[in-house]
Amino acid sequence: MTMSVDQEMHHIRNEPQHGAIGSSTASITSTDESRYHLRSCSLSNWKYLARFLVLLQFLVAVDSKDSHRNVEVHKVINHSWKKTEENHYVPKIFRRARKSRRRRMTTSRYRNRGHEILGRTRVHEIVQRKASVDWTAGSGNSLAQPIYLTWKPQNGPTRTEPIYVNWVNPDQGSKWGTSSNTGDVQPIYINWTPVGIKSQWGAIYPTPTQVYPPSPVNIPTPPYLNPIYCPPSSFAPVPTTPTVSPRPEAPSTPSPSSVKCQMNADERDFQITAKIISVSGPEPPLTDGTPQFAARQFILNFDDSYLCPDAPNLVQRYVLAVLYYSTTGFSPAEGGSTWAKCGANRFTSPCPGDEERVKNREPILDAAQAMLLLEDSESQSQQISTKKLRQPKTATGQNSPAAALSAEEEQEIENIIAMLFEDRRRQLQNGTALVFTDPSLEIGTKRWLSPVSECQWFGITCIPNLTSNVLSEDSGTVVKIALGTYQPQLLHFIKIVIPDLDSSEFKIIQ
Amino acid sequence: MNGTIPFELADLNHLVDLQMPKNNLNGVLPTWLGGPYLAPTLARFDVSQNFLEGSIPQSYYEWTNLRVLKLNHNQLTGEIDYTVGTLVNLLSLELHNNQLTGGISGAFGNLAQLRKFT
Repeated sequence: MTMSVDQEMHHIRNEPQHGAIGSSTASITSTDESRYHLRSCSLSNWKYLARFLVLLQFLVAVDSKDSHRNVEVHKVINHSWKKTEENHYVPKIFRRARKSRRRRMTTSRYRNRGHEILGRTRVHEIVQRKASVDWTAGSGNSLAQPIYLTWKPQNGPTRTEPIYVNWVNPDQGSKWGTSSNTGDVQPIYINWTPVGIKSQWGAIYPTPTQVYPPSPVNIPTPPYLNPIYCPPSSFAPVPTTPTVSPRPEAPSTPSPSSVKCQMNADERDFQITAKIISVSGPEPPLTDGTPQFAARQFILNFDDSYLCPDAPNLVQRYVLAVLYYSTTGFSPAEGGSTWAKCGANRFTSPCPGDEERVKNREPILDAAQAMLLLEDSESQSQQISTKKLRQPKTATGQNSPAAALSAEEEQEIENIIAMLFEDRRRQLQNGTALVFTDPSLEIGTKRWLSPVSECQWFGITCIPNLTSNVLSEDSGTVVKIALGTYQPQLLHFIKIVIPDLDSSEFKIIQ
Repeated sequence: MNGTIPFELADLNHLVDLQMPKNNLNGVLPTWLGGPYLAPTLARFDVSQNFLEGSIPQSYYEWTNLRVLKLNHNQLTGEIDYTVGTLVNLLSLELHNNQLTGGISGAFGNLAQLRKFT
């Protein structure tokens, strides 16, 4: 027996009131069974769902607790490094972390969030995060009180974590301890990682991203410091075992910062960053991909001269590094690639005289050590002795510069410069200006970003730092930047003058 | 060399001579180079023969110590402000081969030291 669809629907609609109907029993029974099964299935699902929810709640609780415990605002310092199957280096601590499932997960997440390994440099980059800080606990004048960091994991609800800080952003630091207004939430950049690496204190850094190369104190003397060093024909493979010793194994070896700057690396980073922010503002130095960010990285981590925060030439070295990165590309890995000469990469941007130095088996001044490490194997394979100076790039179109200045133009410039000198000379005779004839005023010829005074970088001229009436060899004040394709013509007749008319700290030499 | 001129150069507050001609610099002239920063000391500012755009920042006319200003062969637009007359020590002003508009104002009469103007 069959029923039409309408009849069946009518039956089903009326079923609770009327029960089964005579001749339709079989079908009705069948329908009821289906409904029963359906209902039963739904109940079964709900049971599973309820169980699942209970389990999920438990897992969330566990996860929350675990994450809560593991959330630390910290800085990673001086790891030992372990080579992974992908030829990447990860902090050795993660080897231990793989013991637990959760940590393995966080390690993977950690890697995927921006712990990029830059080539073979074993550079470790920490995840960048923005967070906000509720200053409710900021009353008083003590850093010992916690502040509450509100943060949001990638997958999860917003959480609030009490943390202790050593330092905060300069702009917020001025308010630290005085801002006790509840709900005064201000943006702050922190270094953040979900992995529970132990740190001595939580620290809020003014930087969203930090790069920490291995401690230079544990690195053997670079081969290029050897006077007879020549670039290898091929890039040497990265050693399986990192050259950096775990920090605990070398407790007696002081870090450069503790020796030279009389402060730990964290404090040095913070103070230098504070000065940099005073020059460039808070955003550019803290934003990855900007020249300012690269320059800050250079000052903090790559510059072998390892400036201290109170170095008198810190700002100008940073500014020149910004100029360099603004005109070459932002990444240190690209160092010097677009400069015809004396950029950081000596293979793509050789300095005048490099060939002679190679012939004479003299050391070639390199850029910072990290720059060398970041050079790719192709560049490494090129011998400087056979490298010709790359022809400078020329602009196209109507603005294409002439190959050389006309004799008339050169003479005009020379006349103008001569007038400048004469002007200064007259001022000097009147006691209102200074003329420096010291040889140290010569234009720099060294490679940019190399660990010499920035006054010796190519195209830079400085006046000596005459504080205390002592001529310092390694510092000075930049008075001239000459970077252009026709520098060789100009280098000969430019001497420079010092206009610091009112300052008493500059005195006449000779 | 290509890229932009960073405004941080303004923090080299003893800078006398800035020459970066015949490169591939682009972008605009950094405004921050003017005002209270380079004004006391800058004697030469030469970024000619690049690809710089935009107008000449007003602050450039405050460099009273400036002797040589070379902005020629760029893609600068706008007018030469009448305050150019404050550059009384200017010896050479080269602005040709740009897309500057407007005329020569009477302010140029103040430039008594001017030797070269193109």
